[in-house]
Amino acid sequence: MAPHPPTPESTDSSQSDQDLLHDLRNGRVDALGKLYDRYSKLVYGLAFRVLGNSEEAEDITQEVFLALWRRDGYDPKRGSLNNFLMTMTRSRSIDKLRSRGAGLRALQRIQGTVRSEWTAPPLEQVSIQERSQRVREALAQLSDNERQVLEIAYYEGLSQSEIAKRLDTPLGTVKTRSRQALLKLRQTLQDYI
Amino acid sequence: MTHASLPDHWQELIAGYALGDLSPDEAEEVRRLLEANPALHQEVTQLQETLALLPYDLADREPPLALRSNILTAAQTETSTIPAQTPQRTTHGIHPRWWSVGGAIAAVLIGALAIDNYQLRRQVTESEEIVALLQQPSTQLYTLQGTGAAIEASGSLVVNSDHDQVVILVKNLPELPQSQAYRLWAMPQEGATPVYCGQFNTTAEATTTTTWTPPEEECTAIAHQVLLTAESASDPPIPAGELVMQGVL
Repeated sequence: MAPHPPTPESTDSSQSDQDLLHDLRNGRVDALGKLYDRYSKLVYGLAFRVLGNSEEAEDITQEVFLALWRRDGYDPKRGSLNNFLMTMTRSRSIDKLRSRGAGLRALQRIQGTVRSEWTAPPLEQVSIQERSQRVREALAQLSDNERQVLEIAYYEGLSQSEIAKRLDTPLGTVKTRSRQALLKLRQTLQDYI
Repeated sequence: MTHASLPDHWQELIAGYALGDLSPDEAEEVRRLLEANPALHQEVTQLQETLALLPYDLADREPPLALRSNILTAAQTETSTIPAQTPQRTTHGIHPRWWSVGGAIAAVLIGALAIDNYQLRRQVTESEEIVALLQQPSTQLYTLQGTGAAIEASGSLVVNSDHDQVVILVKNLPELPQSQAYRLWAMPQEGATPVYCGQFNTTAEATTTTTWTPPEEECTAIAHQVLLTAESASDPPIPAGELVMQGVL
Protein backbone atom coordinates (compact mmCIF):
# COMPACT_ATOMS: atom_id res chain seq x y z
CA MET A 1 0.00 0.00 0.00
CA ALA A 2 1.27 3.45 -0.81
CA PRO A 3 1.71 5.47 2.36
CA HIS A 4 -0.83 8.02 1.14
CA PRO A 5 -3.43 7.75 -1.52
CA PRO A 6 -3.36 10.19 -4.40
CA THR A 7 -4.99 13.46 -3.49
CA PRO A 8 -7.92 14.94 -5.41
CA GLU A 9 -5.84 17.75 -6.75
CA SER A 10 -7.20 20.76 -8.50
CA THR A 11 -5.25 23.21 -10.64
CA ASP A 12 -3.10 23.80 -7.58
CA SER A 13 -1.73 20.35 -7.99
CA SER A 14 1.89 21.28 -7.43
CA GLN A 15 1.51 20.93 -3.67
CA SER A 16 0.65 17.66 -2.00
CA ASP A 17 -1.67 17.48 0.98
CA GLN A 18 1.37 16.96 3.14
CA ASP A 19 3.06 20.13 1.82
CA LEU A 20 -0.09 22.11 2.48
CA LEU A 21 -0.47 20.66 5.98
CA HIS A 22 3.11 21.65 6.69
CA ASP A 23 2.33 25.23 5.64
CA LEU A 24 -0.91 25.11 7.61
CA ARG A 25 0.97 24.20 10.75
CA ASN A 26 3.16 27.23 10.21
CA GLY A 27 0.07 29.42 10.41
CA ARG A 28 -0.37 29.93 6.68
CA VAL A 29 -4.01 30.78 6.01
CA ASP A 30 -3.42 30.46 2.27
CA ALA A 31 -2.66 26.75 2.79
CA LEU A 32 -6.04 26.38 4.48
CA GLY A 33 -7.55 28.09 1.44
CA LYS A 34 -5.91 25.61 -0.90
CA LEU A 35 -7.06 22.63 1.17
CA TYR A 36 -10.53 24.15 1.20
CA ASP A 37 -10.48 24.40 -2.59
CA ARG A 38 -9.44 20.76 -2.76
CA TYR A 39 -11.87 19.23 -0.27
CA SER A 40 -14.74 21.61 0.42
CA LYS A 41 -17.14 20.12 -2.11
CA LEU A 42 -16.61 16.66 -0.61
CA VAL A 43 -17.02 17.88 2.97
CA TYR A 44 -20.03 20.03 2.18
CA GLY A 45 -21.53 17.39 -0.11
CA LEU A 46 -21.26 14.71 2.55
CA ALA A 47 -22.70 16.94 5.28
CA PHE A 48 -25.54 17.91 2.97
CA ARG A 49 -26.21 14.27 2.10
CA VAL A 50 -26.48 13.35 5.78
CA LEU A 51 -28.34 16.42 7.03
CA GLY A 52 -30.39 17.36 4.00
CA ASN A 53 -30.09 21.12 4.33
CA SER A 54 -27.60 23.73 3.31
CA GLU A 55 -27.53 25.73 6.53
CA GLU A 56 -26.38 22.85 8.72
CA ALA A 57 -24.05 21.54 6.02
CA GLU A 58 -22.46 24.97 5.94
CA ASP A 59 -21.97 24.93 9.72
CA ILE A 60 -20.37 21.47 9.62
CA THR A 61 -18.06 22.49 6.78
CA GLN A 62 -16.91 25.49 8.78
CA GLU A 63 -16.38 23.36 11.91
CA VAL A 64 -14.35 20.76 10.01
CA PHE A 65 -11.99 23.20 8.31
CA LEU A 66 -11.51 25.23 11.47
CA ALA A 67 -10.79 22.00 13.37
CA LEU A 68 -8.13 21.21 10.78
CA TRP A 69 -6.75 24.73 11.23
CA ARG A 70 -6.58 24.16 14.98
CA ARG A 71 -4.60 20.95 14.31
CA ASP A 72 -7.26 18.78 15.87
CA GLY A 73 -5.95 15.30 15.73
CA TYR A 74 -4.90 14.57 12.17
CA ASP A 75 -2.08 12.04 12.19
CA PRO A 76 -0.74 11.20 8.70
CA LYS A 77 0.39 7.81 9.95
CA ARG A 78 -3.18 6.78 10.52
CA GLY A 79 -4.50 7.43 7.05
CA SER A 80 -5.07 9.99 4.34
CA LEU A 81 -6.30 13.52 4.89
CA ASN A 82 -9.35 12.56 2.84
CA ASN A 83 -10.14 9.76 5.27
CA PHE A 84 -9.66 12.10 8.24
CA LEU A 85 -11.90 14.83 6.79
CA MET A 86 -14.64 12.46 5.67
CA THR A 87 -14.66 10.62 8.99
CA MET A 88 -14.90 13.88 10.96
CA THR A 89 -17.57 15.29 8.62
CA ARG A 90 -19.62 12.11 8.77
CA SER A 91 -19.50 11.72 12.53
CA ARG A 92 -20.29 15.39 13.24
CA SER A 93 -23.13 15.35 10.72
CA ILE A 94 -24.65 12.16 12.13
CA ASP A 95 -24.33 13.57 15.67
CA LYS A 96 -26.21 16.64 14.56
CA LEU A 97 -28.82 14.54 12.83
CA ARG A 98 -29.41 12.52 15.98
CA SER A 99 -29.60 15.63 18.15
CA ARG A 100 -32.50 17.04 16.18
CA GLY A 101 -35.88 17.15 17.85
CA ALA A 102 -38.87 15.37 16.39
CA GLY A 103 -40.29 18.70 15.27
CA LEU A 104 -37.47 19.16 12.84
CA ARG A 105 -37.87 15.82 11.14
CA ALA A 106 -40.64 17.02 8.89
CA LEU A 107 -38.47 19.87 7.71
CA GLN A 108 -35.61 17.48 7.12
CA ARG A 109 -37.85 15.27 5.03
CA ILE A 110 -38.67 18.16 2.77
CA GLN A 111 -35.21 19.55 2.51
CA GLY A 112 -33.58 16.15 2.47
CA THR A 113 -35.05 14.96 -0.77
CA VAL A 114 -31.62 14.39 -2.17
CA ARG A 115 -32.02 12.55 -5.41
CA SER A 116 -29.72 12.71 -8.35
CA GLU A 117 -28.05 15.86 -7.19
CA TRP A 118 -24.87 15.76 -9.18
CA THR A 119 -24.14 18.25 -11.86
CA ALA A 120 -21.12 18.42 -14.08
CA PRO A 121 -18.02 19.21 -12.05
CA PRO A 122 -15.99 22.25 -13.00
CA LEU A 123 -13.28 21.57 -15.50
CA GLU A 124 -10.49 22.67 -13.23
CA GLN A 125 -11.12 19.75 -10.87
CA VAL A 126 -10.26 17.07 -13.35
CA SER A 127 -8.88 14.55 -10.95
CA ILE A 128 -11.79 14.91 -8.56
CA GLN A 129 -13.94 14.23 -11.57
CA GLU A 130 -11.93 11.15 -12.42
CA ARG A 131 -12.07 9.83 -8.88
CA SER A 132 -15.79 10.47 -8.74
CA GLN A 133 -16.19 8.57 -11.96
CA ARG A 134 -14.22 5.63 -10.60
CA VAL A 135 -16.19 5.56 -7.37
CA ARG A 136 -19.48 5.68 -9.26
CA GLU A 137 -18.36 2.85 -11.53
CA ALA A 138 -17.30 0.82 -8.50
CA LEU A 139 -20.64 1.43 -6.79
CA ALA A 140 -22.43 0.43 -9.97
CA GLN A 141 -20.80 -2.99 -9.74
CA LEU A 142 -22.53 -3.68 -6.43
CA SER A 143 -25.96 -5.21 -6.38
CA ASP A 144 -28.79 -2.81 -5.54
CA ASN A 145 -29.21 -4.52 -2.17
CA GLU A 146 -25.54 -4.26 -1.30
CA ARG A 147 -25.38 -0.62 -2.26
CA GLN A 148 -28.53 0.18 -0.34
CA VAL A 149 -27.31 -1.20 2.99
CA LEU A 150 -23.87 0.32 2.60
CA GLU A 151 -25.31 3.76 1.87
CA ILE A 152 -27.83 3.64 4.69
CA ALA A 153 -25.10 2.61 7.12
CA TYR A 154 -22.70 5.28 5.90
CA TYR A 155 -24.94 8.27 5.31
CA GLU A 156 -27.61 7.72 7.91
CA GLY A 157 -25.50 6.14 10.62
CA LEU A 158 -28.11 3.47 11.35
CA SER A 159 -27.05 0.31 13.12
CA GLN A 160 -27.32 -2.98 11.27
CA SER A 161 -30.35 -3.96 13.34
CA GLU A 162 -32.06 -0.65 12.55
CA ILE A 163 -31.36 -1.23 8.86
CA ALA A 164 -32.68 -4.80 9.11
CA LYS A 165 -35.87 -3.45 10.66
CA ARG A 166 -36.31 -0.73 8.10
CA LEU A 167 -35.74 -3.05 5.14
CA ASP A 168 -37.60 -5.93 6.77
CA THR A 169 -34.60 -8.14 6.08
CA PRO A 170 -32.88 -10.58 8.48
CA LEU A 171 -30.01 -9.04 10.44
CA GLY A 172 -27.54 -11.65 9.19
CA THR A 173 -28.37 -10.81 5.58
CA VAL A 174 -27.89 -7.09 6.20
CA LYS A 175 -24.52 -7.69 7.82
CA THR A 176 -23.33 -9.97 5.03
CA ARG A 177 -24.47 -7.54 2.35
CA SER A 178 -22.79 -4.50 3.85
CA ARG A 179 -19.52 -6.32 4.53
CA GLN A 180 -19.44 -7.91 1.08
CA ALA A 181 -20.23 -4.53 -0.46
CA LEU A 182 -17.31 -2.90 1.33
CA LEU A 183 -14.91 -5.71 0.41
CA LYS A 184 -15.95 -5.53 -3.25
CA LEU A 185 -15.49 -1.77 -3.30
CA ARG A 186 -12.05 -2.08 -1.77
CA GLN A 187 -11.15 -4.57 -4.47
CA THR A 188 -12.41 -2.35 -7.28
CA LEU A 189 -10.88 0.84 -5.90
CA GLN A 190 -7.55 -0.59 -4.83
CA ASP A 191 -5.59 1.87 -6.96
CA TYR A 192 -7.09 4.70 -4.95
CA ILE A 193 -6.47 3.50 -1.44
CA MET B 1 -0.01 -11.18 2.24
CA THR B 2 -0.71 -14.76 3.28
CA HIS B 3 -3.04 -15.47 6.12
CA ALA B 4 -2.67 -19.20 6.67
CA SER B 5 -3.46 -18.92 10.37
CA LEU B 6 -6.54 -16.79 9.96
CA PRO B 7 -10.14 -17.99 10.11
CA ASP B 8 -11.98 -18.28 6.79
CA HIS B 9 -14.17 -15.29 7.45
CA TRP B 10 -11.43 -12.94 8.58
CA GLN B 11 -12.08 -10.47 5.75
CA GLU B 12 -15.73 -10.19 6.66
CA LEU B 13 -14.82 -9.66 10.28
CA ILE B 14 -12.40 -6.88 9.39
CA ALA B 15 -15.02 -5.32 7.11
CA GLY B 16 -17.48 -5.46 9.99
CA TYR B 17 -14.90 -3.77 12.19
CA ALA B 18 -14.42 -0.96 9.65
CA LEU B 19 -18.19 -0.59 9.38
CA GLY B 20 -18.62 -0.64 13.14
CA ASP B 21 -21.19 -3.43 13.07
CA LEU B 22 -19.53 -6.23 15.04
CA SER B 23 -21.41 -8.18 17.68
CA PRO B 24 -19.65 -8.40 21.08
CA ASP B 25 -18.38 -11.90 20.24
CA GLU B 26 -17.11 -10.82 16.85
CA ALA B 27 -15.45 -7.76 18.40
CA GLU B 28 -13.56 -10.02 20.78
CA GLU B 29 -12.52 -12.26 17.88
CA VAL B 30 -11.26 -9.25 15.92
CA ARG B 31 -9.38 -7.94 18.94
CA ARG B 32 -7.54 -11.25 19.19
CA LEU B 33 -6.93 -11.39 15.43
CA LEU B 34 -5.42 -7.90 15.38
CA GLU B 35 -3.29 -8.65 18.38
CA ALA B 36 -1.91 -11.83 16.80
CA ASN B 37 -1.59 -10.33 13.31
CA PRO B 38 -0.57 -6.67 13.49
CA ALA B 39 -0.40 -6.58 9.67
CA LEU B 40 -4.19 -6.72 9.68
CA HIS B 41 -4.26 -3.11 10.87
CA GLN B 42 -3.31 -2.20 7.35
CA GLU B 43 -6.36 -4.07 6.06
CA VAL B 44 -8.54 -2.09 8.44
CA THR B 45 -7.00 1.17 7.23
CA GLN B 46 -7.63 0.21 3.61
CA LEU B 47 -11.27 -0.51 4.30
CA GLN B 48 -11.64 2.78 6.17
CA GLU B 49 -10.01 4.56 3.23
CA THR B 50 -12.51 2.83 0.95
CA LEU B 51 -15.44 4.07 3.01
CA ALA B 52 -14.00 7.58 2.92
CA LEU B 53 -14.22 7.47 -0.88
CA LEU B 54 -18.01 7.07 -0.84
CA PRO B 55 -18.59 10.86 -0.77
CA TYR B 56 -16.92 11.10 -4.19
CA ASP B 57 -20.21 9.77 -5.42
CA LEU B 58 -21.69 13.10 -4.25
CA ALA B 59 -18.79 15.34 -5.16
CA ASP B 60 -20.54 17.99 -7.18
CA ARG B 61 -22.53 19.95 -4.63
CA GLU B 62 -20.98 23.40 -4.42
CA PRO B 63 -20.74 25.00 -0.99
CA PRO B 64 -22.10 28.54 -0.76
CA LEU B 65 -19.70 30.98 -2.36
CA ALA B 66 -19.18 33.05 0.76
CA LEU B 67 -18.25 30.11 2.98
CA ARG B 68 -14.62 30.07 1.91
CA SER B 69 -13.95 33.64 2.96
CA ASN B 70 -15.94 33.16 6.18
CA ILE B 71 -13.74 30.22 7.16
CA LEU B 72 -10.48 31.90 6.21
CA THR B 73 -11.46 35.05 8.07
CA ALA B 74 -12.40 33.03 11.15
CA ALA B 75 -9.09 31.14 10.96
CA GLN B 76 -7.19 34.37 10.66
CA THR B 77 -8.91 36.13 13.52
CA GLU B 78 -8.73 33.29 16.00
CA THR B 79 -4.96 32.93 15.74
CA SER B 80 -2.78 35.61 17.18
CA THR B 81 0.46 33.89 16.23
CA ILE B 82 0.06 34.10 12.48
CA PRO B 83 2.91 36.06 10.91
CA ALA B 84 2.05 39.32 9.13
CA GLN B 85 -0.39 38.08 6.69
CA THR B 86 -0.38 36.40 3.42
CA PRO B 87 -3.34 38.04 1.75
CA GLN B 88 -6.46 35.91 1.45
CA ARG B 89 -6.77 34.26 -1.86
CA THR B 90 -9.88 34.88 -3.83
CA THR B 91 -9.04 32.86 -6.90
CA HIS B 92 -12.32 31.03 -6.85
CA GLY B 93 -14.00 34.38 -6.83
CA ILE B 94 -16.10 35.23 -3.86
CA HIS B 95 -17.50 38.12 -5.89
CA PRO B 96 -16.37 37.24 -9.38
CA ARG B 97 -18.94 38.48 -11.83
CA TRP B 98 -21.64 39.84 -9.61
CA TRP B 99 -22.73 42.70 -11.69
CA SER B 100 -21.89 41.46 -15.14
CA VAL B 101 -24.84 39.10 -15.53
CA GLY B 102 -28.20 39.46 -13.93
CA GLY B 103 -26.98 42.47 -12.02
CA ALA B 104 -30.17 44.40 -12.18
CA ILE B 105 -32.24 41.46 -11.00
CA ALA B 106 -29.68 40.80 -8.32
CA ALA B 107 -29.91 44.37 -7.09
CA VAL B 108 -33.66 44.08 -6.75
CA LEU B 109 -33.37 40.79 -4.92
CA ILE B 110 -30.73 42.06 -2.53
CA GLY B 111 -32.99 45.02 -1.81
CA ALA B 112 -35.80 42.59 -1.08
CA LEU B 113 -33.51 40.67 1.23
CA ALA B 114 -32.52 43.70 3.26
CA ILE B 115 -35.71 43.39 5.25
CA ASP B 116 -34.11 43.74 8.62
CA ASN B 117 -30.74 43.31 10.26
CA TYR B 118 -31.54 39.98 11.82
CA GLN B 119 -28.92 37.38 10.95
CA LEU B 120 -27.21 39.76 8.61
CA ARG B 121 -24.36 37.39 7.95
CA ARG B 122 -26.73 34.63 6.92
CA GLN B 123 -28.56 36.99 4.63
CA VAL B 124 -25.38 38.16 2.96
CA THR B 125 -24.46 34.54 2.35
CA GLU B 126 -27.90 33.82 1.00
CA SER B 127 -27.76 36.88 -1.22
CA GLU B 128 -24.49 35.73 -2.67
CA GLU B 129 -25.87 32.26 -3.29
CA ILE B 130 -28.87 33.70 -5.06
CA VAL B 131 -26.73 36.00 -7.12
CA ALA B 132 -24.55 33.05 -8.06
CA LEU B 133 -27.65 31.09 -9.00
CA LEU B 134 -28.92 33.98 -11.12
CA GLN B 135 -25.75 33.90 -13.15
CA GLN B 136 -26.48 30.36 -14.28
CA PRO B 137 -27.96 30.00 -17.74
CA SER B 138 -30.65 27.55 -16.62
CA THR B 139 -32.17 29.85 -13.98
CA GLN B 140 -35.78 31.05 -14.09
CA LEU B 141 -37.16 33.89 -12.01
CA TYR B 142 -40.84 34.01 -11.09
CA THR B 143 -42.48 37.07 -9.53
CA LEU B 144 -44.86 36.09 -6.75
CA GLN B 145 -47.90 38.12 -5.80
CA GLY B 146 -50.21 37.59 -2.83
CA THR B 147 -53.90 36.84 -3.24
CA GLY B 148 -56.94 36.78 -0.98
CA ALA B 149 -56.08 37.26 2.66
CA ALA B 150 -52.39 37.47 1.76
CA ILE B 151 -52.82 40.28 -0.78
CA GLU B 152 -49.98 42.26 0.85
CA ALA B 153 -47.47 39.45 0.28
CA SER B 154 -44.84 39.73 -2.44
CA GLY B 155 -41.70 37.90 -3.40
CA SER B 156 -39.70 35.95 -5.93
CA LEU B 157 -38.98 32.36 -6.76
CA VAL B 158 -35.67 31.40 -8.35
CA VAL B 159 -35.35 27.92 -9.84
CA ASN B 160 -32.32 26.31 -11.38
CA SER B 161 -32.55 23.02 -13.23
CA ASP B 162 -28.79 22.37 -13.43
CA HIS B 163 -28.31 22.73 -9.70
CA ASP B 164 -31.71 21.25 -8.92
CA GLN B 165 -32.46 24.06 -6.51
CA VAL B 166 -35.27 26.43 -5.71
CA VAL B 167 -34.98 29.60 -3.68
CA ILE B 168 -38.05 31.40 -2.41
CA LEU B 169 -37.98 34.95 -1.07
CA VAL B 170 -41.15 36.45 0.30
CA LYS B 171 -42.23 39.26 2.58
CA ASN B 172 -45.50 40.28 4.23
CA LEU B 173 -46.59 36.63 4.33
CA PRO B 174 -47.71 35.86 7.91
CA GLU B 175 -46.03 33.05 9.82
CA LEU B 176 -48.23 29.94 10.06
CA PRO B 177 -48.77 27.89 13.23
CA GLN B 178 -46.37 24.97 13.62
CA SER B 179 -48.87 22.41 12.33
CA GLN B 180 -49.19 24.25 9.02
CA ALA B 181 -46.87 25.07 6.14
CA TYR B 182 -46.80 27.00 2.91
CA ARG B 183 -46.55 24.60 0.01
CA LEU B 184 -45.12 25.39 -3.39
CA TRP B 185 -46.67 23.87 -6.51
CA ALA B 186 -45.60 24.01 -10.15
CA MET B 187 -48.12 23.80 -12.96
CA PRO B 188 -46.21 22.56 -16.00
CA GLN B 189 -49.01 23.58 -18.40
CA GLU B 190 -52.26 25.44 -18.12
CA GLY B 191 -54.86 23.23 -16.46
CA ALA B 192 -52.28 20.56 -15.52
CA THR B 193 -52.27 18.89 -12.12
CA PRO B 194 -50.06 20.89 -9.74
CA VAL B 195 -46.77 19.18 -8.90
CA TYR B 196 -45.72 19.35 -5.24
CA CYS B 197 -42.37 21.13 -4.87
CA GLY B 198 -41.82 21.35 -1.10
CA GLN B 199 -42.96 23.36 1.88
CA PHE B 200 -41.71 26.04 4.23
CA ASN B 201 -42.88 28.58 6.75
CA THR B 202 -42.12 32.26 7.18
CA THR B 203 -40.62 33.89 10.26
CA ALA B 204 -42.35 35.97 12.91
CA GLU B 205 -41.35 38.95 10.74
CA ALA B 206 -43.49 37.45 7.93
CA THR B 207 -40.51 36.89 5.66
CA THR B 208 -38.31 34.03 4.53
CA THR B 209 -35.47 33.16 2.21
CA THR B 210 -35.45 29.40 1.86
CA THR B 211 -33.38 27.22 -0.45
CA TRP B 212 -34.00 23.56 -1.06
CA THR B 213 -33.80 20.72 -3.55
CA PRO B 214 -37.32 20.00 -4.76
CA PRO B 215 -38.71 16.46 -4.93
CA GLU B 216 -39.69 16.53 -8.60
CA GLU B 217 -37.92 17.55 -11.79
CA GLU B 218 -40.94 19.53 -12.94
CA CYS B 219 -40.25 21.96 -10.12
CA THR B 220 -37.13 23.31 -11.78
CA ALA B 221 -38.42 23.10 -15.36
CA ILE B 222 -40.16 26.07 -16.96
CA ALA B 223 -43.66 26.15 -15.50
CA HIS B 224 -46.79 27.79 -16.81
CA GLN B 225 -47.51 29.01 -13.30
CA VAL B 226 -46.35 28.51 -9.72
CA LEU B 227 -48.70 28.52 -6.75
CA LEU B 228 -48.34 28.83 -3.01
CA THR B 229 -50.98 27.42 -0.68
CA ALA B 230 -51.36 27.24 3.10
CA GLU B 231 -51.78 23.61 4.13
CA SER B 232 -51.57 21.28 7.07
CA ALA B 233 -47.88 20.38 7.29
CA SER B 234 -48.53 16.66 7.67
CA ASP B 235 -51.12 16.20 4.91
CA PRO B 236 -50.26 14.21 1.80
CA PRO B 237 -48.94 16.39 -1.03
CA ILE B 238 -52.28 17.20 -2.65
CA PRO B 239 -53.34 20.85 -2.84
CA ALA B 240 -56.32 21.35 -0.52
CA GLY B 241 -55.64 24.59 1.33
CA GLU B 242 -56.12 28.24 0.56
CA LEU B 243 -54.21 29.82 -2.33
CA VAL B 244 -51.99 32.58 -0.91
CA MET B 245 -49.62 33.55 -3.71
CA GLN B 246 -49.14 32.88 -7.38
CA GLY B 247 -46.45 33.64 -9.85
CA VAL B 248 -45.55 33.60 -13.50
CA LEU B 249 -42.26 33.99 -15.36
